[in-house]
Amino acid sequence: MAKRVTQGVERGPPITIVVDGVPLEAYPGETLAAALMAAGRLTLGFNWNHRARGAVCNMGVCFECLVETLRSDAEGADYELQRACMTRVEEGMAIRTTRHGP
Amino acid sequence: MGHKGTAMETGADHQTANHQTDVAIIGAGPAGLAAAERLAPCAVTITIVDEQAAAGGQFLRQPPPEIRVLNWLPGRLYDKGKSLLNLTQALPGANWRFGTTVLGLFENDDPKTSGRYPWRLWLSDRNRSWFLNARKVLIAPGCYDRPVAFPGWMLPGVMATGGLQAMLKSQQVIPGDNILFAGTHPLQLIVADQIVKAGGKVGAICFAQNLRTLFSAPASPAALWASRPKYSEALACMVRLKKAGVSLHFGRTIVSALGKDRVEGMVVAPLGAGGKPNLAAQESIAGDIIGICFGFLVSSELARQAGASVTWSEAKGGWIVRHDRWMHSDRPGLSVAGEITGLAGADVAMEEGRLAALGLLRDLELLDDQQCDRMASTIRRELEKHKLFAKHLRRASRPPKGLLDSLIADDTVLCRCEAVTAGELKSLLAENPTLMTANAVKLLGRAGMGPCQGRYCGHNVQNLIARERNASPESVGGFTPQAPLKPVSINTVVQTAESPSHQ
Repeated sequence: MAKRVTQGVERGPPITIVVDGVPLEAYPGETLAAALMAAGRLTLGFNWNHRARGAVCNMGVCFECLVETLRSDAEGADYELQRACMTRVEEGMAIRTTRHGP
Repeated sequence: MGHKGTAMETGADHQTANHQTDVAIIGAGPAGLAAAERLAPCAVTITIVDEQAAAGGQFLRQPPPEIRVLNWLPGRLYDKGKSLLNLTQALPGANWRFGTTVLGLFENDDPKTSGRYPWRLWLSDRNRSWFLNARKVLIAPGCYDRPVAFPGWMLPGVMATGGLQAMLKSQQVIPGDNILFAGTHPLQLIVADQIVKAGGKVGAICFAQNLRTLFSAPASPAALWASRPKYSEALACMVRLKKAGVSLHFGRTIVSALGKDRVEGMVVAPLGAGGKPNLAAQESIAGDIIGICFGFLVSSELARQAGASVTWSEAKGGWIVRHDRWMHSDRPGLSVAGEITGLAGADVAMEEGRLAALGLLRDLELLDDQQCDRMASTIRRELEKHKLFAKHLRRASRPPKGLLDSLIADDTVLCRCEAVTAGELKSLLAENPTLMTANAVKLLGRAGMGPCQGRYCGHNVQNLIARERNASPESVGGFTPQAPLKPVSINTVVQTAESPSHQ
C-alpha cells in the first residue's frame, strides 16, 4: 500500500471528501491526486479506449489525472473537470473517477 | 514559504497590478526566482506568474502551508535553491500570481497602452481569465519529464519520475509499496534515495546505459572539476541504495509494464546488438509503481506561440529558444531563461535568470552598459562552469540511439488523450504519401488534439513521422502551439475582463 510520510511531517486534522459516493479521509493542503494515491487508488478515470488511467506527470502537463469535481460551496453548480494533481482537497468536496474520455 | 507581493495587498494597487506590469516573469522556478531577485530592488514592478500553488518550480516543489515538513529537502543539492526561495519571500514591488495559467502571449493591440506596454498576456485561474499588459516578458517555464511510449505505459502506476518525486517533495506521499525505476537519467538515483530515506521501498532501478557511460569522466579538467559535487552526490546515493537492498541494473531497459488495471511489475531486457533490447533474455520484476526517467522535454510552447525562433535539439530537450548574450529571444521585449534555452538544470537556470534580469535592466535604462557588463561577467563565468557539467550530464544520460523508438509497438498508444496508436499513424502515413508534417498528421489522425495539446505525444509523433518518411525531425516540425495553451472553459473565456473596471 501507498503511504503518507509521518516522521518529521505535521498535518492538520483530517477532512472528508467523497470519492464516487464513498467518504475518504484526506488532509488539508493535499492535492486530490495525493489523497487518492495515498489511499491506494491509482485509477482516476478511463481513456477513450476504456483503459484505466492515472496520474503521470503530477505537475499539470499530461491531463491524465482529470477527475470530475464538485465543490461543496458551489450552489447549483455541476461537476467540473479538474486535474487531480493541481486541485486541493476541500471539506465535503465530491469527486468522480468514473469518466470515460480524456 | 509564503511569497507575498506588496502590490497585492492594497486595493487600488491590486487593480493596477493585475493589468499592467513592467516585467512579467512566467515561471517561479529557479530561473524566474533568480531574475525576480535581481529585478525587484530596481524600481520596476514585476509580476511573477506560475501555475503551481507556490514558488520553487519543480526543483523546489514546496509543501502546502498546511503540511509542515521539519527537514524539507536536506542536502547540498538544494541549498542554493532554498536560499534563493528565502531571499525572494518579501520582494518589494513583486506581485505573485500562483495558481495562474498563461493561456497566450500577444502583441498588445490597444493603441492607448501599446506604446508603453507592447505585450499582452492572457491569464486564467480556476474562476476567471484576464489580460496583463507588460513592457517586457521573461519566459522561464522549465521542462517536464520526457514521455516515453512502450507497451503498458498507460497503466495507472506508470509515472514520470519527476511526478513521483513531486508527490514526495510536496505532498509527503509515497504512492506505492515497491517502487521501480527505469531510464537513463541519474535523477532516478536521487528520487529512489529520497524515497528510501522517507521510509519507502524501492525494488529495482534499471539504467539502459552501462555504468561506464553513466559515470564517464568529462573530457576537460574544468568540466571534471565542475561535475565533482554532483558526481559525489550520485555515488553516495548509489552506495546508500545498495545498502538498502535496492537492486541496481545497468545496460538494462524497460520493455513493457505488466498489470491489468494497475502496475504489477515491469519487463526488462539487456541491450543487445545495435542498442535494441534483447527480448530473448528478458525478465520481469515485481512492483506497483514505475518511475520513468529518460530525461526531459523543454516547455517552450509559450515562447513559440509568441513567435520566438526555436532550434531543434533532441539532446537539449526538443524545440529550444534562440537567444542572444543578454537572453533576449528574437522577438523584441521577450527574454528567456532556464531549461527552454536547452536542458541544463537548476544551476544554469539561476544564472540565466540573473543574466536575463541584467539584460532587462539594461533595456529599461535602469543600469548603464558598463555596470551591466561588469555584473554580467561574474555570472557568465559561473554559467560557463555549470554549462560544462550540464553538457556532460546530457551525454552521460542520453538514451542509447534507437532504443526509445524500438520500445514502441504498433498497438502502443502514442497520443494518450485521443487514444491514437503508433500503428494507426503509420497506416495514415502509408495511405497519404503527401503527409510530411506533425501538423498535417494531427489534422487527419487526431494525435495531439486532446487536453494535453500534444505535450505528451508531440515529440514521439514527430520522431515517428521522421522515421517513416526518412526525414529529419526538424523538417517534420512540431505541433504549432496556439492560444489557449491549456484547456480553459468557455465560461472563463467569455468572462475575460478587458480592463480593470470590469473586475
